[in-house]
Amino acid sequence: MKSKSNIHLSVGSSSILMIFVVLCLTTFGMLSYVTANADSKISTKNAETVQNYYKANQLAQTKLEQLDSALFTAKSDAKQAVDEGTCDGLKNKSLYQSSSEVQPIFNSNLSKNEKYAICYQIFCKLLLSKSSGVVMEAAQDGNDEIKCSFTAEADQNRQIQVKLTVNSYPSAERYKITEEKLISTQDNAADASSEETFQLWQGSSKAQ
Amino acid sequence: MKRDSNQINSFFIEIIIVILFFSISAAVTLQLFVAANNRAQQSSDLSVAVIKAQDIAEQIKGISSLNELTEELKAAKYTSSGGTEHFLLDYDKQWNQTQSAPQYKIDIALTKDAVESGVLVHADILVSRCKSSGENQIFTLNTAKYLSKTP
Repeated sequence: MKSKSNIHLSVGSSSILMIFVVLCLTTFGMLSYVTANADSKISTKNAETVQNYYKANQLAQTKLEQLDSALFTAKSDAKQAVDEGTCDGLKNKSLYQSSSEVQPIFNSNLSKNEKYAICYQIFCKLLLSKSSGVVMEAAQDGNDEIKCSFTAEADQNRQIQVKLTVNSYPSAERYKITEEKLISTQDNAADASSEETFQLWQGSSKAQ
Repeated sequence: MKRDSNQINSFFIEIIIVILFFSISAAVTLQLFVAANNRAQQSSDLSVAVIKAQDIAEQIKGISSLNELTEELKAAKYTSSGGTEHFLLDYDKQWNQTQSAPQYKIDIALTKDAVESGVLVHADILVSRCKSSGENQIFTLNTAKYLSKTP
């Protein structure tokens, strides 16, 4: 007996194998591309958010520079005005003279240092309220501290809010930043309406 | 006998067609894998570049005087041109600081605007990838720090 070994190379088997392999390759290729694309989108979004935040920070620092310049001017103006007993020689004289509080200080019997301090406070208030974007906070009872705040836009929904307190006259530092935070500008009412209440599991698995 | 040779002939014709089709499909799929790999590389570069730039920006935000240099900037190469100070940091492929053959570079340009009341320091941070054809910009970050002058 002669044993015969036949290898059947049936037509179509290679095609089926090829289709399977090509489908696998295409699926894995698509999956890896979609994943990489999604990662790239998240990275780009994150990069934009970081860029916007630091852009807002730059705006806030520029605004701070303007406010500090105003305080510096107020300090030197107060000194000059008290020494001369008038606001006439000052650059911002029209602004200072618009306040009825300024002239009585020059004619009062207060000491020079007290006059500097009061004049400085009035000039600070006038100059800061003139600066665009600055919100003056109402003085609390028995507290003469000048408090103000300003914001810098980070993007559509976020902004940096800076709150500062102006130090009184003899202090070396002109201002003190009391708060600097990132706030959301989205409508709070819309947030409240979209907020859902979830019933939390109370720790009992027994069916009611 | 004749039937067998016919079957073998048709099998070989099919194999040729299959190989042809497979090579075309493989070329297309390979391109897809290459594109995915490039995209992943870009995404990874951007993520690390953002972290590095943010780290430097926070260090600049934390300075309290002009003479105070951050730890990162102390190790950088320093150049100055037209009122702008440049600090150059070189990194290897793994984002470790290196002195030779850098793969990534960070250029920190500091510009100081002095006014009567203080100094506003502008910092422009540019992260780029070094290629044989030149430098490829990955990420830029602009920030500023105001330093008030006290008497």
